[in-house]
Amino acid sequence: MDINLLLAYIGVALMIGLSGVGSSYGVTMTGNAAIGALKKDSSKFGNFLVLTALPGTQGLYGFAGYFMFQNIFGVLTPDITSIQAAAVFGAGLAMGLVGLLSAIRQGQVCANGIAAIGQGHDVFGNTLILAVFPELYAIVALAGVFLIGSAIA
Amino acid sequence: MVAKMKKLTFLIYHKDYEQFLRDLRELGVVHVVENKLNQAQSERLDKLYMQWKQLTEAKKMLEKYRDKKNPLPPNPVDVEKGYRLPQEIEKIQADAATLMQQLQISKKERDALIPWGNFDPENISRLERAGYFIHFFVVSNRDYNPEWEDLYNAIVIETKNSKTYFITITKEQDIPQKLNLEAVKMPEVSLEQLNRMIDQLNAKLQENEEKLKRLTADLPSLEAAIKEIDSEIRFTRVHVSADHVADNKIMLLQGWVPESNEQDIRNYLEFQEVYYIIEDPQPEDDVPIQFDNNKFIKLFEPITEMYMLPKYNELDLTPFFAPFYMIFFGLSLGDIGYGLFLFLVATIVKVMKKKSLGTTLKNVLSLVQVLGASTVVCGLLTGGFFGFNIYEVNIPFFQNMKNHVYFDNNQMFELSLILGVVQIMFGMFLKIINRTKQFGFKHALATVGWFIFLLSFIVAYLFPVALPMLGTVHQIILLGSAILFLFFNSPGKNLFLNFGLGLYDIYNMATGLLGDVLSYVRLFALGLSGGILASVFNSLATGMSPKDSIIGPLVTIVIFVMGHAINIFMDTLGAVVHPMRLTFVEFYKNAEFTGGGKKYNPFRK
Repeated sequence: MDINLLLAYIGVALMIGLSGVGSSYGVTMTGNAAIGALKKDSSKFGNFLVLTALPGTQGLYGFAGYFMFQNIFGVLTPDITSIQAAAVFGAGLAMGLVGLLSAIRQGQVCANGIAAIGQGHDVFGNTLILAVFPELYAIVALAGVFLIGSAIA
Repeated sequence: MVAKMKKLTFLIYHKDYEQFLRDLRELGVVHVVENKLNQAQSERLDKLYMQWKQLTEAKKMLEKYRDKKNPLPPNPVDVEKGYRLPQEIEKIQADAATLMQQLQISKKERDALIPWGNFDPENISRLERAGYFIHFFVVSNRDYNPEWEDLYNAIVIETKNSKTYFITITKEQDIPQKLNLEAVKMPEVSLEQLNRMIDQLNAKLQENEEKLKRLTADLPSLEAAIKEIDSEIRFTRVHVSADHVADNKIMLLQGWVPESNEQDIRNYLEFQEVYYIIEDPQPEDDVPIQFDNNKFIKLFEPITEMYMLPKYNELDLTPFFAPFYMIFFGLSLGDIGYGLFLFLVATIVKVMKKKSLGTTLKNVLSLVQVLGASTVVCGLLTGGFFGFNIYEVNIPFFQNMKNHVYFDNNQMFELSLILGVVQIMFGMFLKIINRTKQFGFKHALATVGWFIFLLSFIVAYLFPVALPMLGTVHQIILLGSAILFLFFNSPGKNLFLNFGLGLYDIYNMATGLLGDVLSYVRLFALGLSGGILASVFNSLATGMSPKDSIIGPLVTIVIFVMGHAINIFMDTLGAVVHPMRLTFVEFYKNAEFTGGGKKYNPFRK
């Protein structure tokens, strides 16, 4: 039914859109912090690059979620049932929201780490470890999307 | 393993002190206990730090001026010259600043002169002496009154940017008052002279820069000076760390030496007039940590150091997390192709730069090799190869392998959780050993209780025949272990307090363990998302390329290479960091790792 497919694609839009927006915010924050910190210590660009890239993963998870529905579970077809559509919508909403907020918050953690490294504190390793705390929930959301997908496929 | 250390205490006569320290530095095995307070009060150290700062600033400066593509041939190393360089650079820079200032002023004057054209100021004063006064004015176009031309012989020189530049030639001197305008003051030089001056200044600045560039040939001298200062700082830090006793006649110095080097120091001290004691460390001592691991485990030490070094009497967990870390990395990356890529890159770099590689970098590369190999093995479970699946290829060999090792997504999901349970149980087992080692077995009883409690469920689940789940035998085991963790969790305290703490422990375990185990889901999810993104890039590469026999394949290759390059970077980053978190948070927590040891850093040149 058409309305089912519409619902499913709204879910997909939320999943890709929100998590992508979150990652863009996250990496922008870290990128800004990195440029500021480079003024103080330009030799740490390698560290900054790694920390700047960290909040970029959520956007990829959102995309990976869409790809699972499209290719692995293959539910995004015109004969999608209403249950499947609801599942895709729910999964997308969950992935999108978690991706959006966790990427922004992770960006803040990384940005603080970058600022601290710029001031001469050796906290690269600590920042890496602390920064993956928020990421866990994005990963869990992706695992959730996968479980939802395998339940309806 | 943490290497065993011996505590050293020296008493040295103050006149022998300097020589003694030099000998100690030559030996290079003693970790001297430094006194932060004495160091902070030392003027000599302050001076050295200042000098070090100047030298490093000078180095930074020169590196900026160095021609990176074809640097000047370096001059022979001359440490004295290295020490003089900061002053020289400072002088050149001060000169440059003055020149810059002059240049600014001249440029401003030139800008003011340009509308008036080139004339000799001498001519103006000659006219003045002859009784003709020339005044220069600038007014906006609409304020200019053409009548002035008759009244005061005004002559318009230039109209530019809606401003009129004009002069008056009169016998009177008070034209500005009559016109109610302010006359423009002219510089004492002509435009031509100014231009020449500016050129000269520019040339001088250029010359200054050349001087700095020439100095870059002395960078090696500067580096030698920095090195010397570094070792001087180190020496002074140790020098001021001794406590003065007996009217400043005797210096008291403490240090640590690894047991393996104990004989070296004994041999040396035998012929010295130094009173010394060598003893075993006491529990309250802050012993520096040196690792004593085999070659394989050594590769993982940087990971341990990233978090915290263990305390001296604590178990070093490096050998215990190393195999897990290896597997976790492999599962998180989970692509045979990426694993091969990492392995090959590390191998090639290792072979190509065999001579110039330091030990640290070599170890990192070896670690990359190990992790890459592990990725290849773990990748066989799912069969991903640069986003393609080798088990979809219809070759009997692969199909045969698929029957034996292939894990589908649900199985991978379960595998990550099972690995989590295994690592957490192992961590708890280590906690028992750790507590026994540090405080005695009595303090480990509660953990033993928990360990048996949890293990019994696992055994009952796996072998229902041997131990029926919640059967009589199982119930007895559960009861016994519950008594252990409810009543023996803090020996020496009263029973009710123990019971209360035990209940609190149950709450912590129930919430903590669940979260800990679920945290290992990331292994599965990382592997999955990495694999999916890789296959996305593959379909992009084939799907997006135009249908042209020449450009088509080219675009395919570009997308393929770029896509996988990004994916390898992001995935490897994730595969390094996430297992690290599992190690430091989930594993360390359950193994009750406290840490906080200082690194063994021997006093040497």
